[in-house]
Amino acid sequence: MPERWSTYARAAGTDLEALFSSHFNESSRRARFILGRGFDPRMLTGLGLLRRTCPSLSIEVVILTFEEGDQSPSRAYQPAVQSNVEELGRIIPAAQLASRSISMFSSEGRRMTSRSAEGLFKTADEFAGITDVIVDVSSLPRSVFLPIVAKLLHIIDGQNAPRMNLFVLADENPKIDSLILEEGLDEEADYIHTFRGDAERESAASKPRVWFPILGENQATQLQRIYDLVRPSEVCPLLPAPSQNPRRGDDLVLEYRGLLFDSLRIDPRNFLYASETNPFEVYRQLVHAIDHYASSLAPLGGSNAIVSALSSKLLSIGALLAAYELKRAGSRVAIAHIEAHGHRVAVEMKELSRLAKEGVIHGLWLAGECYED
Amino acid sequence: MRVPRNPFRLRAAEAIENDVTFLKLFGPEMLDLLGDDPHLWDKPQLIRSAPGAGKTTLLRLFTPAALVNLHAFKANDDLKELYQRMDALGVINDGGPQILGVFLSCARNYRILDDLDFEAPRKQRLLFGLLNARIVLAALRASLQLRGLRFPEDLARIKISADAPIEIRAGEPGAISGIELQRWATDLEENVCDAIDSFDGGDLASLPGSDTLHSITLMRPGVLTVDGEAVASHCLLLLDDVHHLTHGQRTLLLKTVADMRAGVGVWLAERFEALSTDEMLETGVTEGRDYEGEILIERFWRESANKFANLLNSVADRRASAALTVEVTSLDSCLQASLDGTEWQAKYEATIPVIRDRVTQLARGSALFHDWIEMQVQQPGGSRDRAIGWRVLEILMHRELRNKQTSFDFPLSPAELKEKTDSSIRAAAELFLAHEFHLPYYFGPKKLANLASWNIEQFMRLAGDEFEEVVASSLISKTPTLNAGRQDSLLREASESFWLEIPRRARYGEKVHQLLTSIGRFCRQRTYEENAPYDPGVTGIAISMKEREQLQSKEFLAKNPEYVLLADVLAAAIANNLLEAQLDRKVKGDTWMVLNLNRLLCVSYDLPLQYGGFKERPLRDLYMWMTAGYEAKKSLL
Repeated sequence: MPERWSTYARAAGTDLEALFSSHFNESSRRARFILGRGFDPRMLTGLGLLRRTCPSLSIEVVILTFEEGDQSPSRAYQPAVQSNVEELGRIIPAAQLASRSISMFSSEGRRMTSRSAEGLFKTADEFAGITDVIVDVSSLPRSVFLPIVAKLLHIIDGQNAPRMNLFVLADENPKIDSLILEEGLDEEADYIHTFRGDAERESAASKPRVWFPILGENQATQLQRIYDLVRPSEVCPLLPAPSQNPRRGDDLVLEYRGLLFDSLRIDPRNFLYASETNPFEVYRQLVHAIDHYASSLAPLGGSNAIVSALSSKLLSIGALLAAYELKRAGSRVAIAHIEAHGHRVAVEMKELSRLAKEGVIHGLWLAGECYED
Repeated sequence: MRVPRNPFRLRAAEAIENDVTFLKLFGPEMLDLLGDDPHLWDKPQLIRSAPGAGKTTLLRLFTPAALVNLHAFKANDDLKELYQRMDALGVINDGGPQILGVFLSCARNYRILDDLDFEAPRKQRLLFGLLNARIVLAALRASLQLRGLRFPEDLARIKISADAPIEIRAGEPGAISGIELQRWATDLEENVCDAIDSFDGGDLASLPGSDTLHSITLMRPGVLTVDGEAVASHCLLLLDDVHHLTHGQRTLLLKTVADMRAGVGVWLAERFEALSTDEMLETGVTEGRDYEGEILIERFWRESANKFANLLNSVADRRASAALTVEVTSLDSCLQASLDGTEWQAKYEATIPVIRDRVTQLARGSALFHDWIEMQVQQPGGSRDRAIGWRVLEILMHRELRNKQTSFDFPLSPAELKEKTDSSIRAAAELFLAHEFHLPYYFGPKKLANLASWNIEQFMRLAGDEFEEVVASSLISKTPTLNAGRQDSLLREASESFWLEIPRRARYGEKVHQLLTSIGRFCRQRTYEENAPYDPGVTGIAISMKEREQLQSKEFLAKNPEYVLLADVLAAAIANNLLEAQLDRKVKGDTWMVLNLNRLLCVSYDLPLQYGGFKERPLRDLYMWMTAGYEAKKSLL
């Protein structure tokens, strides 16, 4: 199967600055920058970088707000949220700032984040005059940015050339990620809206389910609950390798050994590996593996693939790209996910802000000019 | 998949992909839950529990794959008992399975239908349409599986009788065989799912739906035939995970199934979390409901403790036998069950002088305890018995000293000591000794079973931790037994980890954790009072039934909005079996709702595992505990 992102454009740190500088300062452009309102000190890193490297670029910012509920532990960090919003006001004039709200819960208290996020942008008309869309996922939960990025890809794929450019930014900082803990997990996992795949169809119930969890640290409960939803016949965990810490993959296997080997009894040959900083490699590995299972299990009616991103936000994009491309090609791939009622920071906010300076910002160019024939 | 090294880790029924393995690991005692109701196969039945109590396992037993294998392997020693019990229930006999179990999980995309911008009747029609399609598909697949035929290749061999309900063929008027029926159901499901899953919202408005659950009538005896013969004498629709539906959908489903009186067995399994706060606080009250005799799994086992113990024994032995890396036939045989062995005698012996000195100090200047002390000095027996005897004496002396205003300084008689030394005070003394001198307390098969708190998955988790050590011992050629000290350490670690999971595990997790921590601290303080007034200890609290009603009263909650959160937090704790609720307990001239801590939570607070010790608390205290926490008012022992 031809891979849409077999060649790709990505850059990090100073390379990203250079890319932005040459891309945005070259000609007349109008960018829409989408980011989340939150306490994470990385919320404005991407926007700050863009403003710094391209001071004359016309930028509209869409800030996404989401209410995690009265009992959310995140409410304790309201001052940090306020401070981020004030800083945003200093970077972008109020006239260029728009706010959109995402409903996390229905009136009955049901989780509906991904559905609400998917409905945020409906048609290409909403982007009239926009040449570039940049989504900074650093302060957005997966249930928000996965459906938004998928919807933007869908909108762009429906456009006639010249299409909009779509960039995704993620400020990667494993230290900070390990200090922001999910609290009050939902009782049940669910599928990301528009990525329910074949997983819930009775007509596909006889197809063996193959689950591809991308493993990250401290996700045992999440992993168990997603497993309870998916109930797979086969599990193929994806480990980060190569990685900055060469033992990271081993540590993850050690952390989840009980679940992986005793409860799920996976075969060690099922492990997949992809670079911890390259989502396009995750994408490639997943597309190959899913394709391989589909053809091997064709005599049984095919396979039913489900992916779950339990690692960094950057790698989650790789899972999304695989699911999106396969969906467009007619293979239904599901993305299973579990949400939390909020987050707790394991250290003082000051310490978190200090650590934020150690992160590296990654940029992925997902659609637009560089992919045109 | 690999061979299981530690079969206790295969917790969920769904994780056991091999049907024969599933059957071999299934404890037949689980069937006690069904009782001897002759109408099991022709009426609706609700099964409720916290997560991990075994609902799906029970349902899976009645699926064609399990029944066909049970029949095929009925001579296997591991399956004989199960076969006999299923035979007695009328599920299976020498001729083969007699029940067609159609399993369908409700953990699907039904909830989204409630979020669509349609009128309620339209949503309802879509829900029933999708359910009908899925029930039909599941029934067709199950019918072929029961007959050992292939799906979908052999669908033409399924015929629908002429007197089949017209409604089921509404979408396919000419449907007479499984092929047409499958096509109709598949198309309907595909259309709805594609529309739901599309980026553009799809055209759900034009999709067909149904007015009710017509598909259930398809499962009446004789309606579905394979090669001209009825598929089975009874059909059983097994709807799992009903709690995944929205509140409105779930209410509609339960009411529709109850009202249909279709003469078909419909089992609906759901977690307690499906219940509203109000319903959860009613836990166990069934009068006036559509579903009489609902099965509340934890409650059933609590009221039949011996049956639960038998079930755990059976399950543990089956799992232990299934381990291929170690030759063990029973978990019990691997667990040290007493501290009477020589390795503990010296430790107990060392405690005696310490307690004796304290007792002597306590009695100084008074003749009151002279005979009691003398009797204890003369007590024969092993070190452990004598140590417990001394600790009992110390507790009793504290009790007497509290009452000394009313007693004279005449020596208390040995007969009084004997009379006051009952099993409860001995249990308290044993607990105090273990706590004070760091001796193992949580060990042995009985305590392991108690720590399950009536939940199979919790038991598997603990037994799995212990069995892991047994497997490891075997690997390094050591005797595959676990001494009491190691068991105690493992169970304490498991308890700590259980506590840490609470914020993630339960809704309002942080608040649930705060409230339970407060209850734990309170129970510990009350348990370790020097005169052990609630021997062997306090492991729960109680609110009056009147106050429980207030938590359910809209008027009360409108006036006292802070209690809304308390009600939700209590309901979340009960739904997750973190608190075990018992209603209408009569004490001190009033009736109470007792909320016992899950036994595994007791371990971190060094609490006993017996039930019965609870303290009444007003709602305002619980509210304070949940919001600000509880701090012990004075130092512990």
